[in-house]
Amino acid sequence: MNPLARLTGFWAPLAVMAFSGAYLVLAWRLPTEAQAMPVGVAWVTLGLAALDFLSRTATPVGRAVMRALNPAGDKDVEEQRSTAAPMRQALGVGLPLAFMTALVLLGIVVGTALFVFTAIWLSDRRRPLQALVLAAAATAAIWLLFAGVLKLNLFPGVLLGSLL
Amino acid sequence: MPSVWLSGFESLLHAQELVFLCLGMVMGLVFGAVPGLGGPTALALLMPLTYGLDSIAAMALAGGVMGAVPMGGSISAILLNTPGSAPNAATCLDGYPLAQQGKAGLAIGAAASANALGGLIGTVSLLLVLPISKELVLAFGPPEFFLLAILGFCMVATSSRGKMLRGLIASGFGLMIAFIGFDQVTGASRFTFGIQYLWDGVHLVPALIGLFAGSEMIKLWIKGGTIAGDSSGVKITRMGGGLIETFRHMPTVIRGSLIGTAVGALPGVGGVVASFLSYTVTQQVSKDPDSFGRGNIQGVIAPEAAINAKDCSALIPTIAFGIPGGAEMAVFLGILILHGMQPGPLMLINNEREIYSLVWALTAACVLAGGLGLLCVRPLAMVTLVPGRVLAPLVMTIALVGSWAIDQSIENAVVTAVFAVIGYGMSRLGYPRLPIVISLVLGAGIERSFHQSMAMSDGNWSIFVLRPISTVLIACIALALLITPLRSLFRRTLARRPAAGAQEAA
Repeated sequence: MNPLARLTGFWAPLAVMAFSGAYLVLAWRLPTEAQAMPVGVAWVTLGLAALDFLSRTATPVGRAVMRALNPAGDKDVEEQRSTAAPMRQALGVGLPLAFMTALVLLGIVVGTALFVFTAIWLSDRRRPLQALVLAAAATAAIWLLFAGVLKLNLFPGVLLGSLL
Repeated sequence: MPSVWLSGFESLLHAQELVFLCLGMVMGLVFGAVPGLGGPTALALLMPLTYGLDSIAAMALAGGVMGAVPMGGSISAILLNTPGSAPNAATCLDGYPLAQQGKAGLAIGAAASANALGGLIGTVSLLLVLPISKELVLAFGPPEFFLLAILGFCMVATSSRGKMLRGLIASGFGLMIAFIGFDQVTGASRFTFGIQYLWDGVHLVPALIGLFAGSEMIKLWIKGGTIAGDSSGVKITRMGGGLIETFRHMPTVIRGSLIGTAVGALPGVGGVVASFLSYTVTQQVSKDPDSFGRGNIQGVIAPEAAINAKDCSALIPTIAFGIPGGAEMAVFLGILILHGMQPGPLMLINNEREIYSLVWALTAACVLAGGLGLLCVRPLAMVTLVPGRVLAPLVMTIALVGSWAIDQSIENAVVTAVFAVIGYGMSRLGYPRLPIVISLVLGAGIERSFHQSMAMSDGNWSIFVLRPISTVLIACIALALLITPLRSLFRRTLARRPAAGAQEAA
């Protein structure tokens, strides 16, 4: 494994430890009874994440922990690492977040049309017309199902809603 | 007692009731198959519609939905690796690998027949257990519920294919999220950062939609191609073979159904624990545990039998004590109350006819939905041939907008998107996602049980050890935690033996 890949292997337990640590700090500000379970669970998770961190080190103890508690290791992670292009992964994660933002700001109808068009077009830029048709069809289907059949008032969006 | 059973059955045999039963089944199949919708959403949408119906017709409609949802969920779990409802997540573990091997028909056939048999066994168990249900549920107090939930976490972590430690971390992470919102004991607001939406905690259904449907669609979009990988790989053939496989593995069906029945009778534990417990136990007793997760048909049969059996026995705490076994039963409680029935011990006396009508409707739906599901498999299977770049945005759209539609709250869509990214990140970094689901489902219950136990014992922790059922549960937890290290040790010892033998021979 190259050094960068080995480094990224430690991110996950470190992130869990950071999350658990921050959670503990916040939990301690709560009344005694309200903090009992959150504090206990955060400590346990922190300890487990520390064990996970240790298991990823190349030390004898780390290897023993890995063998005993995570015998499957990182085989599937390695497979994913080798096949996925970083740019495509970033887009894959960014698109739902962009869709979420579009839903909140521009509403369901506009957000859906924009998201479906962008996601399909980004996958195959040679067929913009296909992306356009599918985006229009998906938006119409969403409108028909939720507004037409279920009689719900589709969320207009924070920006567009204030304009309407 | 048999006369009451027959009276309940007879009340279903009217055109109107049968029509509503079929309507419920179709709705259940569709809502079950569409990732992220599921039984609670279907029942919640139906609830206002049942208001104009008489109580038997309403029970037929609700029973049809509840009985058919698992079958619909298993279809999407097998074909899309995206469970329609959370309990079907266990079906993904072997159902999806089978679909990738071109054996989707076999898996779906097995799921349908296991569903039907599980439902039948569950009904028989329910009819036998209903009269003595009070004693059964009362034997479990708060300390037992607390320990049972911990056992659920350990079992799910153990079944995470050699990633027990990461499964436990995911459980802890899920519990920390589950504790967001108002504390049930003190009423204190926890980790809400002033966001009103979070006062009720992170909503379960949007989070589930994100974790499963959302993250799978991110993976699919990134991977490209079709869901089946290669369009020629998805063959919906040998559905009859699936039926034969189910009968060949009858002990698995019976074991799964009994596990489902036992777990379903305990409020708050739910179908996820039932399906995973059934899967894990089947894996543990199998002569070839390594084949699980790689397309073992028993990995489909075991959870599917448990899910439907659980649906029948989950009625026990819901009806007898007004304690819903899960989200679906919680919504169903609303339908009972809407029709003037008061869930509790008196309901078993005052509304016997309705109860047994519901039991029969559920049974009929469990059996008939399998057949209906098999008829619909071919069109549903076509979903797997749609290019991922087209399907992923469309399912993601339904997931986020469907999430908003639950209570028309745009924050639900935000939760879904965030959990989709969390789910993808976990999958990418080698952490199982399923323990988070268990944590989100059991989080509130485990904390309530903990506080009740502490109140019962004046803060003495020995209450978790000294009660007989608690002691058994603690032993089970210890066993669950030891399974992975012991199995690893056993494998290494076995691997060393031939090498040592070869050295001696040399």
